[in-house]
Amino acid sequence: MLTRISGGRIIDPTTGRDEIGDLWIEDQRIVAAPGRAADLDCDASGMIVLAGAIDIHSHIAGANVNTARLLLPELHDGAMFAGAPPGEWIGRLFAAMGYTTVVEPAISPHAALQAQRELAAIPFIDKAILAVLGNDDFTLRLIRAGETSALADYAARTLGASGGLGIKTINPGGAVAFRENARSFSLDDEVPRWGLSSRAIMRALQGAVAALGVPHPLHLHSNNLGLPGNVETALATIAAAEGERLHLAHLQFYSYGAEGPRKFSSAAARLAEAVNAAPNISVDVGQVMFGQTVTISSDVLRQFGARAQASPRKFAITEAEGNGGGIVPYRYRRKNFFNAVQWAAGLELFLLIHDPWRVFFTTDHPNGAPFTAYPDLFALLMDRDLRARWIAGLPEDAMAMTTLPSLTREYDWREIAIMTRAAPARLLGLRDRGHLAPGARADIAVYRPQADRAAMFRNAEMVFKDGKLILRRGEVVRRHFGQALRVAPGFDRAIESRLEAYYDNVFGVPLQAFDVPEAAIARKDQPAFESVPCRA
Amino acid sequence: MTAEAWIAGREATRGAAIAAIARRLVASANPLVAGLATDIAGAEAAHDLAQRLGAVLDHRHSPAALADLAVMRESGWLVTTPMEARAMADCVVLVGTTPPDLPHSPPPFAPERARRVFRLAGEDMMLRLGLLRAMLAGRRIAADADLTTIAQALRAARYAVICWSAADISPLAIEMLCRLIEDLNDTTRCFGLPTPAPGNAAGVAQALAWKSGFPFRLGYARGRAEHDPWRFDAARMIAAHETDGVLWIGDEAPSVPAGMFLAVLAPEGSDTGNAEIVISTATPGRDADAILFDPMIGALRFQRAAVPQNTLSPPAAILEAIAALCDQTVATC
Ligand SMILES: [Zn+2]
Repeated sequence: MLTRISGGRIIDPTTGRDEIGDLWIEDQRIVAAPGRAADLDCDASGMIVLAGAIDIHSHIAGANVNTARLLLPELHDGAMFAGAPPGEWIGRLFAAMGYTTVVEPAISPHAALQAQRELAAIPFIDKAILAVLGNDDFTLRLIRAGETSALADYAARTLGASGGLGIKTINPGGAVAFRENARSFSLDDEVPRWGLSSRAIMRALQGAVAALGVPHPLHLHSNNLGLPGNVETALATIAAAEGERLHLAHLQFYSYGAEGPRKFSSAAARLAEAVNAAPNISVDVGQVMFGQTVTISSDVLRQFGARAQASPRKFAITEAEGNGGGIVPYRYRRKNFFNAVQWAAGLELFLLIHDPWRVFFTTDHPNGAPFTAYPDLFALLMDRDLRARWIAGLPEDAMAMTTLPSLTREYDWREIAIMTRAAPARLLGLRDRGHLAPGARADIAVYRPQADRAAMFRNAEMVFKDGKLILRRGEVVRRHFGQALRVAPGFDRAIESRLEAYYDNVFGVPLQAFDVPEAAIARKDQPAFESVPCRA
Repeated sequence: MTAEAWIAGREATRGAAIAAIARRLVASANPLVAGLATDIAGAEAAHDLAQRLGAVLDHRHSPAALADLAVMRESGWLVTTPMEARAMADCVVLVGTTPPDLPHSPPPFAPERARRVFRLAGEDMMLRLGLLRAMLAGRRIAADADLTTIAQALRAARYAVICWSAADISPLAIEMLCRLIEDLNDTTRCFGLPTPAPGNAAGVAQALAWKSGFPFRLGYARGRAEHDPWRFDAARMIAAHETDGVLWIGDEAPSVPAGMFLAVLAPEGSDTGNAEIVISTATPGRDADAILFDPMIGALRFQRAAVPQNTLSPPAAILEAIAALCDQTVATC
């Protein structure tokens, strides 16, 4: 089957292509112009043709997300369910916006099976999980004993068993401190009874990920999320990486100073400067948008503390081996000083970090806002007049605590294409995604330019997945299921017998109880997993 | 070889029984898919069938599962997992007779601490839990020695776990425990550990939630998912003749009033009530691979068939076959 998408403006930052032209698809792949007629011709004249978008950090599956669904039945109106929609809607709404791959970034290896099964039920898109380490007892034992290569073996074994695409660590040591009754935990605090700091855990895991050649660097949810003055923690964390690759998740939530009459200010400008100066660092923003949402986080210490702000007033906190987590519903309000500063700080990070290859587009769905807020956010980044109108509707004293009103930068199409396509593919090691060169997987989004940019992004004119036209203007043309992406680095099997003995001793259950075999999630028509190569 | 399916008491082929069930469910004005003692694939398939039929979904053990859920979604809770409880708790209070005991050895994550395990059972549970909470709040109250000891132990513990089963105690008692746990966390650590209801109810609730956003007592009569613990109570609907066609999955099928259609998909030897059509199924996790909620790990677990056999199909396969014959599409999403 040969398909031609003809006459659109093709923007592909990976190859540097930006021209009006044709894009050819044969079966699942993009091909060079084949010199014969297409079986299917899709007219894209006047439109923008991009690779399918890739979201590196959205909470779309797993026990915590599902608990959020169960916690808030009264908010399940329409499709968005207060930020935790069912899988069917996740796939459909992401695909409608031109997203074809989404990473669920926080899965406890002990609950990986449920997450993978949930992801398997999400139609249209490819998906992946990041496996969480750093608060689990076994990791701490290996780090304390200085067993560097065993730690890498353990991380590799965990990735293999859970089907993960990378490793995340969440307030490393903080959950262990929490169960020992800590109420706060910072970068150089000592994990009770371990003599290890958060910094040490982070460094050890960075080393393990690098040693395994996993393309995605360690994905870090830092300490002190959401607290006034926490920019100091973020700056110290960037310095603590000592030049080694590190991804900082939802940086907006760490961009706060403690200045001004309300002891809360945006320090995003300072933080952006530090990111600009540290080429080893990548970040995603975790933009806040206004409205009802639900916060879903494995930072159990932070979520325990956030219960007081719950709206509606309820929560579900699970303290667990490893990380646990907490679900706290929350409403971001335009008239709220703090929320307005948060909104501005996120935009400042977008606009003040220069390199679009290192800043990623997220709302930390649904923590800053549901992913359905993306179209409005794209529009805000591309249009300073629109920003000015929003700013005019927000508390003046809040805007005075940010640099946002003075920023004039507008994202262009190339920058949007980098930060949502080319860069995430590179960050995750997905060589055949995020670009439009021959050989690439034919995941393609076609947008029809219009005055209302948000409307343009909300429902792409055409979306192709694996070479098939699946949605047109938000309407399903063809049902389709993607795969789960994972890495499978090799490791010394000696770690397995150690783990088996450990699980038997400590938990009284077999290690294999947590594995995700292909048979558990495979669909009839295709393999469950696609393996992404690691660096040799 | 014994038969695999029966229609009106006579042996039938599986295909004939599937076709007959589909016909009857499509003809039902208010179909009900209940029992739901099945694995994750079965729950997903039951959901998709119900969505296609505009049917209601309920689980045999939903009262207990929903009693726990109701407390969580009314005001919230602080809970732990069975593995963390085993590894970390230095004080365990088992409320009622159902929650299983934990090893009395020191917790592996804090081996220098001893582990004390108490069981709180018997009459007047509400009253006693009220006294316990009042004692923990520092009020001077005359109570029996057991209760006083438990209160002291909870206060002294570094990481206490309170286990209960909604089958044993009232929703108000669960609420009381959750508030007591909340109070204790002002100064120390204490978490709840609800015992999951039988029949894979926890797993089924999870699967329905990721499919629809809601747990059981879920209805598609209006084309979209609705959740109503009272309206979509299977036992109530059957008693009130609010359904005219019931598909029961798993053991303990009810007998339905005359004129109401009942079909049962269940392992051999199950109670099939007064079913008109019965299809024998494999038992997920025993003679077919399955994903089930495992109370030992507090999570879903893949369980390979111990005694694989290929004569009987698992419930999921039968439900999918029925759905394929029900083309009356009521709802899309
Ligand atoms: Zn996140």
